[in-house]
Amino acid sequence: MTTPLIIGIVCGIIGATYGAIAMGVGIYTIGFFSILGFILDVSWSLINSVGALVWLIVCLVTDSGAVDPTDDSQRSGTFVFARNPRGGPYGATTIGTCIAGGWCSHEETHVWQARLFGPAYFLTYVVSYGLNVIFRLCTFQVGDISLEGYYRICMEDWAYAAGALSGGDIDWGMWLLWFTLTALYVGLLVTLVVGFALKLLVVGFIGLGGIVLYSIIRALCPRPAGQGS
Amino acid sequence: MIILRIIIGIIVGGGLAFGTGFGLSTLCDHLSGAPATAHAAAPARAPVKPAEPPSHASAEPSHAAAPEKGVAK
Repeated sequence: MTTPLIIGIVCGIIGATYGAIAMGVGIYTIGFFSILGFILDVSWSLINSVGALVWLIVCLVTDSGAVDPTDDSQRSGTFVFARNPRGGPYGATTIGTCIAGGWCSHEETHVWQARLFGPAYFLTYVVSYGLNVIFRLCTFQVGDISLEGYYRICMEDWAYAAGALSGGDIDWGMWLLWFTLTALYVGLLVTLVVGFALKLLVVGFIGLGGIVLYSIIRALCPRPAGQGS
Repeated sequence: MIILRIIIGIIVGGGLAFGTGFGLSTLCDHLSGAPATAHAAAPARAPVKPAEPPSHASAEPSHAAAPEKGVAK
């Protein structure tokens, strides 16, 4: 048995498990975005669907209040829980297709970010947060640094600009703008990693320079509109 | 109805995920130059040469070092 066959079987078991649970609960419906979402969830974004299954189990164990599928949640295909197991000041947390803390188009935007960027999504989110904290420090803006770093994550910029924290409205102009900027950010990260990994130093430094430039500019700019100072 | 949805989820989900995993893994192997199968991994058989006696032969040379009878000419 070859390695690709073993990996294929493992992925197949995960995809079948996710597909059975998601279809059994009925989170998808007959609609373009819902069907496209399911196809991406069991292929390119399978790793995020594994995260969604883990988050789903956490929400069930903590009795976070499973919400029956609605037209809103089915338009993209999402599991929804009423409360966030993290509690405290956290509004909602989305991992893959599982939203804990109530459905809204802000969280729905995160679902599509994971589908579009697949395996790069979570890594980019973490790296963006870390760089924001570092560059806030470097520019001597240390007040409330954890929250300020969070608000400047490219995925959060995108979700705050395009989505709403209550309701399903989407600003498609901002959605496309921040999709482009986030794609640029992910592209620079990939350029950086691939450049240095293949010892193409010029390519690596182009990626590094782009990321540093983006991070400095973002550190000096304010939070997303409507999110305080 | 629910049973039918679950069966569709298993077949479509499992099939797409299998195809993705198998396809990407095969592509990675191909791009990295690794052989796809064990058969392809076997190196080409080199022409058999007669083993040469050790340069500093001991009183009892090992079997591996000893030339095979009837091979060397």
